[in-house]
Amino acid sequence: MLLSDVLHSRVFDVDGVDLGSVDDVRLVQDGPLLLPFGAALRVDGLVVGHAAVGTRLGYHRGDVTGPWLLKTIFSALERRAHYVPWDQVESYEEGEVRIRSRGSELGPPPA
Amino acid sequence: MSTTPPARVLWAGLHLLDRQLVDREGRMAGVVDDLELTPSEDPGRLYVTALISGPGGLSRRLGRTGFGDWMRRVHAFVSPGDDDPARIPFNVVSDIGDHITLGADRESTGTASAERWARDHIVAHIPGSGHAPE
Repeated sequence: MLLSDVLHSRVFDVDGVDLGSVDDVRLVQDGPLLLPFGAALRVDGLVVGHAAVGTRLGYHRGDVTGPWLLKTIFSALERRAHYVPWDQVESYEEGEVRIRSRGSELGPPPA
Repeated sequence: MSTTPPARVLWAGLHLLDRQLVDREGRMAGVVDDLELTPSEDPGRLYVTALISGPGGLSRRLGRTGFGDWMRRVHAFVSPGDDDPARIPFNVVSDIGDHITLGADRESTGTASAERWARDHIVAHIPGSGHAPE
């Protein structure tokens, strides 16, 4: 599969509630060794919400620290986003991701 | 007592998509248009196994819009026979920073073929172009 198969897909929880679209995918470098790069990148989870603009500009998850007003606005948007650990993904197809848990059980994206 | 440093975290959209690829000679080698994700033998685990670069990859990301299809047709015209999009196995990647460094030549990765066509067929005919830095 390709990243584009899940990126921007609509996400529905176990009750069929639309949680928003996939804004980004968190990768953790703790997989099998791939020399010369190092450990492979593992898909850890999906950020679901409406913070795409701030994300693409590098606010909150990136290293951008200012201007403070934009940082504050985009951080607030990010806190309203959901984080879906990859092991909660039930299926993905045709622009839809279905997960095993309820939206209310999901936390915010990790920093 | 030694402690293991925490694993590096990257955001696919923020740190990888649209990043410039640079080959081992320091030459531009296209950009990252998509990522190939492959399930492992461990259930529920998915790993990034390749970078996808080329108009074919971008057009898929754009949802096969008219613009994306047009890009693919132009690329097929200027680079007949080239694989599009190019698949770059992740073990060719040597570093990820503000650009992505590859441990191979861009000719062997098959990326940036449209740019090479433009260089050879258009830019090379402009007087003085032989002195232009890349």
